Amino acid sequence: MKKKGLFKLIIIVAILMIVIAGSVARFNAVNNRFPDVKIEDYYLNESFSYNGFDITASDFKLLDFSELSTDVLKYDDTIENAEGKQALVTLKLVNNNKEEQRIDFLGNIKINAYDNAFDLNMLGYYNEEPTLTLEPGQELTITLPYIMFKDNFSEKTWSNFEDNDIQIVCTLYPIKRIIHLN
Amino acid sequence: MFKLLKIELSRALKSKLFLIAILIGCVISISHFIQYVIPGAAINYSGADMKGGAPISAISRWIGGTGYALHTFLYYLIAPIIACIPFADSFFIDKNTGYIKNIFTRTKKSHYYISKYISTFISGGLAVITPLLLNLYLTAMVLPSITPEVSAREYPIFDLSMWSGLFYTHPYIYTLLYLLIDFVFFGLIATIGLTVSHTIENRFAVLLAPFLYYILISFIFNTTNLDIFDPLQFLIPAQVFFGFKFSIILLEAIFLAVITFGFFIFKGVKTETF
Repeated sequence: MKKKGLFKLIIIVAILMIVIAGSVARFNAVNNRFPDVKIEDYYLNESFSYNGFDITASDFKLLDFSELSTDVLKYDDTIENAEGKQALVTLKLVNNNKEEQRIDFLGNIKINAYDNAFDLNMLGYYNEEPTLTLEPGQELTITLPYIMFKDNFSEKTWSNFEDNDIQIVCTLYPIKRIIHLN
Repeated sequence: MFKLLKIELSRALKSKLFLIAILIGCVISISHFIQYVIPGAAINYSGADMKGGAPISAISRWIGGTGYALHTFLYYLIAPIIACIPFADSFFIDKNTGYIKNIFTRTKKSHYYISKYISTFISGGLAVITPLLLNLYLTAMVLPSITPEVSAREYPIFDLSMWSGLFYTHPYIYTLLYLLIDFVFFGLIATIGLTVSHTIENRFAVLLAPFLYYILISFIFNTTNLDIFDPLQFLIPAQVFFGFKFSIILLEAIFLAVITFGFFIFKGVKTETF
C-alpha cells in the first residue's frame, strides 16, 4: 500500500512539473511574441526623431485656473468656477519627410495615473496655425494647452503637484517615448 | 486543537461541496475566458493595426480586470454563495446530527468553535479565488503581460483609484494583493453562515444569510451614495468606482471579523449543548 501511495505521489508531482514547465514555456512564448514596451526618456530642449519628424519640447508652464485671463476662460465654460491647473507645452516640430505629413503623435499629458489629451478648443487661442500637418522641411512651433481639474486627482498627487513627474506621452508601443517636463 | 483544526480543514477542503463551489465559479470563469480573452488573443495574432497602441494585455482582459463584463459582475454578485457552499452550514449540520456532542466529550468547546471558524473562513476564501486564479492563469497563457500605461485608455484604474501607482508599475503584485483582499472578505462572509446557525433553524436560510447581508449592505450604500463602502464594488480589482480606500476596506473586514468571530465563539461557548 505504501508503494502504491508513493507511486501516486510521483505521478502527481511529475504531472505538476510538466504543467509548470509547459506554463512557463507558453508564458515566455507569448511575451516574446508581444514583448513589453521599451521606454525612451527625453527632457525639455532635448530633440528626438520619430516617423521623419524632429520633436523638441522647448517650454513648459503651469498655471492655476485663477491665473487664466478672461479671454482664455471663454474657450471652456467649465473652468470658471472650478479648481484646477492649465499646462502649456511648447513643441518645435520639423518635418524631414519628402511629403506633407501629419505627425502621428499622442501628445497626452501624464501625471502618475492621470492622463489627458490637449484641449482642442484652446488650441486656436494659443496658436495662429493650430495644425499638426507640416509641409516637407517645414518647422513649426506649437503650444499645446492641457486642462486639468482638481477633482480628477488624488490628494497625494494634487498636494505636491509640481513635485510629480509631469510627462508628455508621445508614442505608446512598441516604444514609449515620453518627454519629462520638470 | 491543531488536530481538530486539521480534521475540520480536511472536512471542508476534501468535501464534494467544496468541489461543486469551485466548479460553479469555474463555469463563469471559463465562460469569460472564451467570450472575452480568446477574441482578444485572436486580435493580437491577426496582426491588426493597433494604431500605435499596445496589443491587448492579460491584465486588461482577465475577469477581474474587465469591470464592464457581465461575467465579472455576475461572479462577484454570487461569490458569497460560492463561499458558503463548502462549509458555512457545517456547524448547523453538526448541531442537528449530534456530531457536536461527540466532539465536546473529547475536546474543549472553544477549540471546536475556533477550528470551525478558521476552516469555514479558509474554505470560503479558497472557493472564491480559485476560479479567479484559473482565469488569470489561462489569460496569461494567451495574452501578453504588457506593463499597463494609463495613456493607452485600456485600463479602468486612474489617479483617484486605490493603489494606482502599484497597478501601473507592478500589475501582478496589485492583482495578487487584490485577490488576497477577496480571499479575506469572502472568507469572512462565509463565517456569517456559522454565526447565524446559532439562531436560525433552517439550513437553506443559513446558506442564504451571508448573500442577503451582502446584497442588503450593497443596496444601502448605493442608495445613500456611499459607494466607496459597497463590497460588491470595492472587491472587484477593476475598481468600477473612484475613491476606494484600503483603510475603509480594512475597517469593514475588521468589523465583520469581530462580529462573526465574537458572536460565534462567545455564543457557542456559553450555550449548553447537553
